[in-house]
Amino acid sequence: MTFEHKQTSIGLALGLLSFAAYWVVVLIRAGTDGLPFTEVAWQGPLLVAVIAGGVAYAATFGVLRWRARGEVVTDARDREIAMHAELAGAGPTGLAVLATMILLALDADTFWAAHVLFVGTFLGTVITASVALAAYREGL
Amino acid sequence: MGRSTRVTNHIKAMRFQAGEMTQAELAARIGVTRQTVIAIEQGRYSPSLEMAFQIARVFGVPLDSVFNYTEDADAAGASARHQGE
Repeated sequence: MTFEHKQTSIGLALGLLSFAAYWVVVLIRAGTDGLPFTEVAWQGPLLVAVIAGGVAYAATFGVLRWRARGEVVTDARDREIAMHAELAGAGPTGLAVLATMILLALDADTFWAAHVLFVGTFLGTVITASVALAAYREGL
Repeated sequence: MGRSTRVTNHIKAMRFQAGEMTQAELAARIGVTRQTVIAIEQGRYSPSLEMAFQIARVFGVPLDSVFNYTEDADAAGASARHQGE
């Protein structure tokens, strides 16, 4: 498994973990407070999920890169796979950004604007990582 | 089994003819990861023209002694599987 392959797998796992953890917290809060989940205090858990996921990803990247110091860790194949995967994942991410702008322009509830962006970018990330992992496994 | 390219190659045989050169040695000579050499040998990745020339140069042979292009995708897949054995 190449450095990029390993990093993509870890990134996908961390993304799924932080996304799931966020929704567990929100649903538990909704249940214990007896509120619809659109009215619970979601801001703190959302920021923690995004920041903790990003920090964990950066930390694993640093550790893996340090362990592979002095080695060729990426090459033309990795770059081609990354480009192919990013094109696949760009659609949901772009749509999420567009939908968020529309929601904000319509003065929609912040909950919906934030969550359309959060879920859309998460889906984009999952598609990007899944396409990359499939390309590593099956070929471009 | 994943999808195969239509480009087949004789890299594995040539490595053995070249003093049982390992995949890691070939990868180091052309500046890629060992997994990329494995993917090329198994027909899961078509190298760029530049990389193909680098591989041919390592073995000291013309490009078409290392790589072939086939119109038949099934034959290319069978050849790749044979290379991967």
